[in-house]
Amino acid sequence: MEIEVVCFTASRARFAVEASQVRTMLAADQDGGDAVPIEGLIGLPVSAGELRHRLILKAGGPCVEVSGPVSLETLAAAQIHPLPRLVAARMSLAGVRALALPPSGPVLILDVNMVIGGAAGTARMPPTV
Amino acid sequence: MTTEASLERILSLRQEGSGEIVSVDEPAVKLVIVSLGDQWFAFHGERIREVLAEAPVFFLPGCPPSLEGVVNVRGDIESVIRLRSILGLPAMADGISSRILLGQASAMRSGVRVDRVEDVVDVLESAIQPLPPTTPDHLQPIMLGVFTFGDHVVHLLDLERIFEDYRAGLR
Repeated sequence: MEIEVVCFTASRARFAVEASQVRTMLAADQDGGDAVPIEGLIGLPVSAGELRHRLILKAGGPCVEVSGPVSLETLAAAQIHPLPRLVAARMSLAGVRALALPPSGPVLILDVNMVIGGAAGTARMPPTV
Repeated sequence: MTTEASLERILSLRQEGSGEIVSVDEPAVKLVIVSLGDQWFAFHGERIREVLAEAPVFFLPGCPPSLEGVVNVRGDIESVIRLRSILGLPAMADGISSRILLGQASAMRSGVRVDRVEDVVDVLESAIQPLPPTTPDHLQPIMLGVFTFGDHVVHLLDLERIFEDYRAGLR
């Protein structure tokens, strides 16, 4: 069993959302309508000077702006884990649903609905680095 | 008539179910003794599943500094917390080798970073004394007692309480 995910970078850490929840990707300078930095939605500082991309989600709402590299990857079920209880209790990031540990290093898997919920409601203002 | 103690006599009493044999062994507990710099601490052995030596720890963003990251233990992902941070001790100098204890409380499991694992010993329960009144207030809830081991004073830690407090954001 495996799932396809769209991986990207935020604050130099790797994140992913399920590929089935992403409609398409645009370069940040293409017109995709309003865009919200992913860092602001999950509670991380925005890293300046990185190449940005926009993910358009099937759930609608504003485009989500992320840092590259953006890639489509396959994660085996054995690589995906729930957050350990102490991590789940103390992690300050919003919308983190699971953790994957492929050979390339840890990837935090986001729940799109929770992330978009943040965009629709009270998105966190990203601190600047 | 004097009854001589002998193996045969003892076995005979055992077989008869006699109550004459009374164990005078004091109850003891198995403890894992660790150190943080020159300070020594211990956990109940039943709370420590194993000692991880060279396991790489993966940093996770959005976690407090006391939460070092996660480690892959034969396919299971476990958190790693820094005991120094929890006890309010300064961070360990870079480049010093250290160990991760895999601790098990009733409802959760986590790695615990310590400087060194000193020994695993059986300690008489009677040797474990109440905490001295000089113990800092913030440490008293997570310490079960104190005993001496060689030249060292060792504080016995309550791993269950440490995990509970940590999960609740109290440490």
